Amino acid sequence: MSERNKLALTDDMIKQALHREFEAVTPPSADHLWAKIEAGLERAQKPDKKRLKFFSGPFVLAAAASLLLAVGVFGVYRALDFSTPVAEDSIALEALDDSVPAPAEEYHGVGVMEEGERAQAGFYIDAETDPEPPSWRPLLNADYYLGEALLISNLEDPDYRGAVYYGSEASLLWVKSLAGEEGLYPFIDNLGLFLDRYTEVVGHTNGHKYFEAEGQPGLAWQEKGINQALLVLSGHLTPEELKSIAAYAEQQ
Amino acid sequence: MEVEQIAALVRQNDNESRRALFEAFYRRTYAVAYNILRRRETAEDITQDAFIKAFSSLHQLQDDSKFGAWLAVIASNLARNYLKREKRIILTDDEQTLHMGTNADLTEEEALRGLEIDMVREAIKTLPPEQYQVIVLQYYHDLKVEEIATLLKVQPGTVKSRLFRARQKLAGQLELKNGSACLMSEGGDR
Repeated sequence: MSERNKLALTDDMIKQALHREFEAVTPPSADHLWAKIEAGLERAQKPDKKRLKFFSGPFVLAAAASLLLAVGVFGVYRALDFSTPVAEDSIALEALDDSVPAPAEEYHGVGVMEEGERAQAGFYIDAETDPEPPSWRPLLNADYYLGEALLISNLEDPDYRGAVYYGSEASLLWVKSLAGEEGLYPFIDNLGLFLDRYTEVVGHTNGHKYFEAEGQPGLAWQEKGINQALLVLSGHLTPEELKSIAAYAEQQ
Repeated sequence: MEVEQIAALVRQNDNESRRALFEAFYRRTYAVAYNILRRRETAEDITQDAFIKAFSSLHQLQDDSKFGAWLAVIASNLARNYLKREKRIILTDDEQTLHMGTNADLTEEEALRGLEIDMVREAIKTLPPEQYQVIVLQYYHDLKVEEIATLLKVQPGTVKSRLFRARQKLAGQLELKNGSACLMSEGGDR
């Protein structure tokens, strides 16, 4: 074959092909699409919706200790009173200030994103405080304390109820589905949509499905017809550690 | 639209600036969704959802000038999740034909080059969504591996391997189409 007929795939060819492809596409009418987007934005602006942020990073020991103390006191309080709904902003968030210099150790935590606040490294959930939370366990595996109880939703899909747990190793999200007929796979997929993360099932054992939400491990299972999942929001846990924590959740 | 202009519109985040961003990016966002889904109506829905999600979450965008790439990630993630959720065979309603234009005014070399680009275009359509996603981010949005990794929230090594597999698949596709043509990839991880 002559040199002339040889086709070399170059970066420039890929670039040109993509530009040509994007120019060739026939999009829908801009006005029609924009009208739908405006309507969707209006629907999405729920006044009581808040944005939770989860982060890992260096903080001064004092700040970390303050948070642990606040979480600990709150956890004990929850342990004593099952029926009390979780109060909004119940964690001493002001103690966390990542602008403070002289970091002493790695820590992770959760906060409510303030209006106009810009994102930093972390994990975000659009959620609102659950006005009538189910009786979430106050403690998981002795190390994880109940924090926020949440209603998690996106624009169209069924709402899920969730609870955030804080521990010294990680923070976790425990989610229960309100949609009874949903299988575990759609449940995990929907969870990805709610959290704006691509979720992927990576294994299964004894009715449990291990999944990953872009690097963070999760575990889903079904109990009495209700889909449930535990997902690591910040910090580091192995799937085995997650499973041992899930065993506590399943004892409910 | 200039990078500074995009960043300014993102910072303003009022209805007028959102509309301007929409006008600037809706075509390529739709194209990304369409190329993954191959269905016009679904691609339109995903485009709509991607803009709503983006405008509702603008404060999460860490570099305002990367709005286009960030939007492409949102759209492609939504499309990937849709595909996975539907778990169905996608019946294409692709009526698009290759726009090769009239080659009358082109030299033989230019016409040949045009044909090659169209072959690459067709090959790109065969990429799995996660490979298509990194190809778009690197070659259309001109992002570095580390920037793509940050946007996709994966390790740079994952991005590199997806890029490698994507280029390998493209080369394989072109080889099939072009008989025993010699294929080379620059493999340019940045």
